[in-house]
Amino acid sequence: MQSQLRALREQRGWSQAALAERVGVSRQTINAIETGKYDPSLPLAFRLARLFEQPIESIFSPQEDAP
Amino acid sequence: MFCSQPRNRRAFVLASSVYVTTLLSSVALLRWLQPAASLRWVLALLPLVGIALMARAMLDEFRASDELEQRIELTAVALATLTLTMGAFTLGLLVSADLLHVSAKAVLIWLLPTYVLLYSAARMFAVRRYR
Repeated sequence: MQSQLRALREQRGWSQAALAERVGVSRQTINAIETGKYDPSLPLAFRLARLFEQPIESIFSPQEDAP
Repeated sequence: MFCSQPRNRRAFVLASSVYVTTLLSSVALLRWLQPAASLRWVLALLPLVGIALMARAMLDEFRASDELEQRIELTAVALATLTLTMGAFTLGLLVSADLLHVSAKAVLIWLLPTYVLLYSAARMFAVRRYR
């Protein structure tokens, strides 16, 4: 999964820890999502989308080689 | 499990202390007192109090952790369980074929410490995967 999370977070000037606190997860989780090592659950993806006021599909998109 | 919540960490340290104390007391009392059968049951099972408290602290920590941490814990538990059961089964096959002679008492006692070691190694592996 590719995500625009890092760009959106940096636009707002938030640290990973600050974003993590806002959506109720650990900083490691935000870092793992941003580096593409972890795909968030649907509830977490919705929380992030609501926070950034964007549709989920504009934040997360499947990788090109994904089925 | 590595407790991130201070409350759970305190509970885990307390539970570990209870476990060590009851284990040492149980072994010492069984050896020195040579108690009757009913008291032997109580003394032999005494360390379970500490184990139960540790299990509760671990479950509280698991419930309080976020989705990635839960995935890491579940991966570690699955890897440790698979390794331990496969190891135990392999040992059983070798013992059944009279190729190895292992004390059942030693195997049963070392089951939990081995599981804890395997879980710790598996957790380090799982954490590295998501770092």
